Parts: sequence; structure tokens; C-alpha cells
Amino acid sequence: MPSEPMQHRPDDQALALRAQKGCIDSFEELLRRHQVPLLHFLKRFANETEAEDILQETFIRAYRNLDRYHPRWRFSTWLFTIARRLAANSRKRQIPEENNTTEIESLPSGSLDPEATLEAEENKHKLWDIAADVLTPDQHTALWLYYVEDMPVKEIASVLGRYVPATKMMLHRARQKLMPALQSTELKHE
Amino acid sequence: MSESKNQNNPIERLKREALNQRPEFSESLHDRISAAIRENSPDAKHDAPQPLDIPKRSPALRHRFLASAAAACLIVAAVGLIWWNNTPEPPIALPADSPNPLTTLADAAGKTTLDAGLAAEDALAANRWGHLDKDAQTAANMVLHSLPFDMLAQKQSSP
Repeated sequence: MPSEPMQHRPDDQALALRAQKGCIDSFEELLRRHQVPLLHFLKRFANETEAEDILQETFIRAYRNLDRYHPRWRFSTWLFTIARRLAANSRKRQIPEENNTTEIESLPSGSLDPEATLEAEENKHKLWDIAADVLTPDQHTALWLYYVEDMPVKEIASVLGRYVPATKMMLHRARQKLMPALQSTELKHE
Repeated sequence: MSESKNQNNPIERLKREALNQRPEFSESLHDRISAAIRENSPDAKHDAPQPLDIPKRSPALRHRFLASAAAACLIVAAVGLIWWNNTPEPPIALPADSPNPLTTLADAAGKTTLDAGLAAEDALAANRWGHLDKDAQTAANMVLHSLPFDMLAQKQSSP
């Protein structure tokens, strides 16, 4: 995916600073690096088509407002902040459609491997869909950014527009709410 | 056993599910977004979030705080205004034992000129007619000068 060799690969902040000075190629490199994690995140809030549209709008806005980015923060955090707000606005306008085709395609076909079968069974239960049902959107986002994107709490707080202690409490409560629901799906397997 | 138990940990399951569902990189999507970015000129529109800083309060909380502060200021101003308007002026109350100045002047008719003048002064001083002192004094002097005290004084002094 990256267009440059690893040993010569500048970090996101360096690319963002170059992009601020007018280097559009640097910004496209940032687009290349962050397309997948952002799209993956946006698919939690919208179907595939809408997620791609929101992703495009995210990068357009980020490019047009590059002067607002400060390199002391991770560039991905800034992108997630924009993406989250756009996704929230989109949700207010419409309810995202259930996209079941992706689920079906992700299931391995005809595998006799017990581990693969267990994995397929788990995928059926869509743990993150359970999380979306049980948690508030902000709790869901916080949990996703923490466990899937390995984002520090401080940056999650920035994405959500909250204080760090409130974000820590939100993560704690999200886990407390979600664990019983997830453990009940685990019991169904046994 | 411990490994399978770890794998069945809800958090690990969440992570695994997310990893399994991660989309592939799409070159076509990349090209599409790149083209859209190049078409959009970087103008001065500010529709991106504020520069990342200390997380700000939510707008709702900020509005509540401003509304409360405004209400508090209004209440303080209203209380101050009411207090200022209702502060009673010191009543111009005559002491209970002060003599009626008119009666005093009338009594002065039976006294000598000096006594009458002194009586008038004492009456005014005793009644403490603040800002009216000067006016009352002027009026008293006019009355005194017009009354025939000299005649009365002569009458009293004559055997």
C-alpha cells in the first residue's frame, strides 16, 4: 500500500507539514495510509456506499483546512475527528441500511478446520453490532478507537470532544455495559 | 487452555472480529478521492474542526453556563436597583418633644425681641430641619422683622 520504501518513509506529521506548504502528493500519501482504517471505522455507522462518501468528504475537508492541523497531534486523530462528525451528521439525516452482503462474503466457504469454523460462527454473531445496539454512539466510538485503532485515551477524548477523565469513565462504562452481552453470546457457543 | 481462554476473552474476540472485517485497500477509491481533492481548491471555508487542543466543553454545556451567568448578572442588577430605589431617605421626623415652630413664633409675641429671635433659632435647631434650615431661618427672620416685638418689649419693660 505505501508508495515509499519503509526506510525512507516519513511519518504522518512530516507529510502533513509538507502538504500544508502545498505538496499535494504528500497529502495523497496520507490518503493512501489512512483510507483503510477510516473506512473500517465509518462502516460502523453507515453502509459501504455512504461510508465511502463520508470518507471522501473527510479527506476533502482535511485538505481544505490543513492550516488548522497542528503536528503535536497525530494526523490520524485529526482525520478521525472529522470523520466522526461527518458520520454523526449523516446518521441524523438517515438510518444506515443493514448491509448483509459483506457478512456473507466474509464467511469462509466449506472449511473443515475447527478453528476457522469457530471463527465463522463468531462472525455470525457480529460482536460489534451487539456493541452498537448496547452502547451509545460515543461509547461505541471510544471502544473502537481504543481496541481497534490502539488510540491513546487522550486522543480519543479529542476525537469525541470530551475531557480525558470523562473519556476514561466512558470507556469503563462501555465495557461494563458490553461485557454481559458478549459473555451471553459466548455461553451460546458452549 | 489458557490460550483458548484468552482467545475467548470478550475483548480479544472484539479485536479479532474487527481484524477479520477490515476492508482491503481500494486503488479505485483512492483515485476517486484524489481527483475530488484536486478539484477542490483550498479556500477559506472553515468547516473542519478547531485545532486540536484541550477538549472544549460541549456547546450545550457552554450555553448553559452563559445563560446561568447572564441570569445571575440580571438578578444582581435587579436586586441592586431595587435596593437603591427603596433605600428610604432619612425621614424628616420631628423629635417628639420638639416645639412646634409656629407655636414658638406665636409665643415670641409675648417675649422680648432678643428672646423671640433666640426662640426661633432654638426651635429651628431643635427640629433639625436639615436642608430646610436655611429657608426656615430666612422665613423666621422675615416674620420676626415684621412682628411688633419692639412694642411688646417696651410694654413688658415698662412698669
